[in-house]
Amino acid sequence: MNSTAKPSGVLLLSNDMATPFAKTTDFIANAIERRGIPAYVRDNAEARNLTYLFQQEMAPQMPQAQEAIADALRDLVEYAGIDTVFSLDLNWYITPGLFVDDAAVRSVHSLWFDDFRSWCTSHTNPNFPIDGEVFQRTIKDPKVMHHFYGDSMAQEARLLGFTSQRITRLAAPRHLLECDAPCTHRDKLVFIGNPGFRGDPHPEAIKLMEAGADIDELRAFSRDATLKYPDVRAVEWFKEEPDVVKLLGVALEARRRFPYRPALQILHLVRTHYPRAFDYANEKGIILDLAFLVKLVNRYDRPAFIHRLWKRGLIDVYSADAEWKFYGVEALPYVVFRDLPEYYRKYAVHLNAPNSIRDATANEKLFEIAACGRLSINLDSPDVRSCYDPGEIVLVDSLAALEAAAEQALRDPDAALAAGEKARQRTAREHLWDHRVAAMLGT
Amino acid sequence: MSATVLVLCNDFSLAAAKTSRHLCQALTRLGHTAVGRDTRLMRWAIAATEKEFPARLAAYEDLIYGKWFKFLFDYGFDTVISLDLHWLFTSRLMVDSELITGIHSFWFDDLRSHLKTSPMFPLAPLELINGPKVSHHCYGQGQMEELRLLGVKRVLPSALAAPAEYLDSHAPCLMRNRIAFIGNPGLSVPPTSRAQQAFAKGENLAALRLLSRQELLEELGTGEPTASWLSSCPQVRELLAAATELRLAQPHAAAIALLVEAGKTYPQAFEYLNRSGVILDAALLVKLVNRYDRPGLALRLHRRGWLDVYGTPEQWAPYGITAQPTVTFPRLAAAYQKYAVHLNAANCARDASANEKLFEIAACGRLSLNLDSPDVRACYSGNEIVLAENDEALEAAAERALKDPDAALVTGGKARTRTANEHLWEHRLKKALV
Repeated sequence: MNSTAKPSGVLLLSNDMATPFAKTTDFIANAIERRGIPAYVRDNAEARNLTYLFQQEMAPQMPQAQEAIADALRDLVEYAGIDTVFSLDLNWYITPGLFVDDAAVRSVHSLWFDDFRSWCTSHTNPNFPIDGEVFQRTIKDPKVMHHFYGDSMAQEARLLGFTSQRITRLAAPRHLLECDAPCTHRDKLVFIGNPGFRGDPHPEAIKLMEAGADIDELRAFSRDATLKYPDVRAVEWFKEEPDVVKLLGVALEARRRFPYRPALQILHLVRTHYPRAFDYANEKGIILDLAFLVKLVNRYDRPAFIHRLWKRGLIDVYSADAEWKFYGVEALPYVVFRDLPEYYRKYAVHLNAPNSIRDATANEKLFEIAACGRLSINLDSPDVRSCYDPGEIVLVDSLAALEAAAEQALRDPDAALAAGEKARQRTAREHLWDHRVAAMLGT
Repeated sequence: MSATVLVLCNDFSLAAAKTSRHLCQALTRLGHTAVGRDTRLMRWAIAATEKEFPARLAAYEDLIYGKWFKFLFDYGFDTVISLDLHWLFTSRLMVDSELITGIHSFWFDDLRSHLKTSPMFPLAPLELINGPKVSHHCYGQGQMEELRLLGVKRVLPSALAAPAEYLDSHAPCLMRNRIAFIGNPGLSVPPTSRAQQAFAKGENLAALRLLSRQELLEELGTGEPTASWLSSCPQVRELLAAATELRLAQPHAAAIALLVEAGKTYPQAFEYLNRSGVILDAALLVKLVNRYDRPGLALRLHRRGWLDVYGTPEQWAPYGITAQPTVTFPRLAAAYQKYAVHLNAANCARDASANEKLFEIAACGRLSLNLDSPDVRACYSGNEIVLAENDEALEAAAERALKDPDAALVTGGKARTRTANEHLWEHRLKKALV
């Protein structure tokens, strides 16, 4: 992949059906423009809508639709002198040869936000029906670089055969550094976001949270629940190959003990004990589904984090209300993007916790809260620790430690704000999208 | 007060994609938040669905509406800007949104062409584009008059402009003994054989306009839609003859105003065209009197061996000009700066002559050779650009510029200063967003 010369134009493909992704795409585009490189953001939700529409009802016109989509982007690539393509996940992947076969396009960058399995199976990402081999060949083309924001995510990708890959952490948009909205809430913490994994929580898990269970107990519960209450598909796997239960059992326990080890890597390690189960999963194409079950050991990490402080009346939660009601948390209205900086600044202290379905813990919020000069309390994990030091953020490894850290921050909000300021400075030096773009483009 | 602005374009017109990016950049420099998006694919899908599966059109509109509603809400946009009506594709979405307080159409194209080439879901465009928060910014007097006569209410003058980034470009001037023209001939249809003969004979613009008028009057009624017009109202022929006659005398007057003027003598024909909703088609015919202006000017300089043309080679081939490939957006500023002198000529399909290139060449500090028109004169003086009364005067000015390229560059420098002070997109947007 030749990316040494400064690009003459960058095309960024967004999917506006998922606006958090669109927002980040725009942040990256702004950072590219600040380097003096013209950047064009185009949404491909329309292309995917079209694909869906044409697959369902207008199949005979499918090639026409495919050509129209390709033409639209090909023209822009030609006239705008595009030689570099960016997207979160595989949003650049619309029709197979569009970019990788175009000699004018020198490089394609996939910044993984989601995990591979979720992206490929999401109903919001339909692609034109193509041969699986063509898909694999395209996404592994030498022009394509895959960027992962977590070490485990990158290891997962390596195990899936992605050779051109590197770690590129998420980051904050520069404009957050300039936000000067006042800190009006020094006596409460805040969490802005949803519970992560969207499935309804098990009532037993809620009972455990109510009873004050710590995070390890919840992970143990989740480990057991995966085998005790399997879904329809898992029941079928267990029936077809009973060793899958054993393979999963060991993998789930390993994840409980090493909660930040990549799920796929754990499965590979356990393979030596249960080769038949592993081969079965591989042949059936369900390895990523098993990895997903392993990741779910951590599924209550984020909700438990929030629930623990909510119970104490120490926290405000902003999100879509329906998402939190199963946890007995009453959320305040969802914050639109435009108001996010103001809300980050409004509170001296924020909770932050990763989404369990991704094997990466240094999420975007980590950088955004820091850019706004506010303190975040995080679960201690290698990814997060590699971006900020204690003193800039707070790292805890249990709910008891979380409670203590929250109490301390509320007792001394000035100290919290001073730590937040250090995090802001570190972000300005190292963790803006401008830094990531410079590294990715080699400019 | 900073705004959160959605800038919409349609990549079907890639020049508009370029300008939309410039608008986003200017908004950002003014301290606003700007996000750009395209509507080309959606419009293609609307047309395809309407044709292939009309029963699903409403469902598709719901899908599009839902996506855009969430997008607008999540981003918290309060202002929408687009070239032409690229913001208009489904009824109500933008107009009804309580969050959006201003919608600005910067007219690039003319209304007739836009509505013909931009598929939309079924809606009543005139009602929506006259909504209280919608403003229409026109870059030419004729364009403004045309919109007003069509019943568009909030019409404001706003010249086109240059991107500030061109002021920062300092590519060398390598061609001091040649002139460049970057662009296409205007109309994509090739010239008639009579026009080709006139070009070969070296006819001047006055003769070419006469010829064009003659051709279009001869063609009246030989095909649709004019055959229907004439069979319904034979007086249309007289009306068009009178309006095109007026255009010969006033080549930069708005075609629609000339039709109104001629309509005083032929009211029945004017009424017929107006009532039938084809007045804009008739206006296009009047504009076509100038159809050979741009290629005529280019050929005049090309014959003298002075001109390099960059554009779509197939469009220039019928004129006997071998064009070099189209200049891509990132290379435009350097391409402008490569030459000390540029030919600039308006597209006859639009009743506005101060095109974007006028400002871009000036921002790059180069001299442009233009036909004198009220629109162009309103933006630059004769000390900053060349304003030629006719093609012979333009040719003479070209010769002088080639003899003294240093003087041409000095004049270009003055145009650059004027552009930096008055003609950047920032200036237009500041005024629009007040």
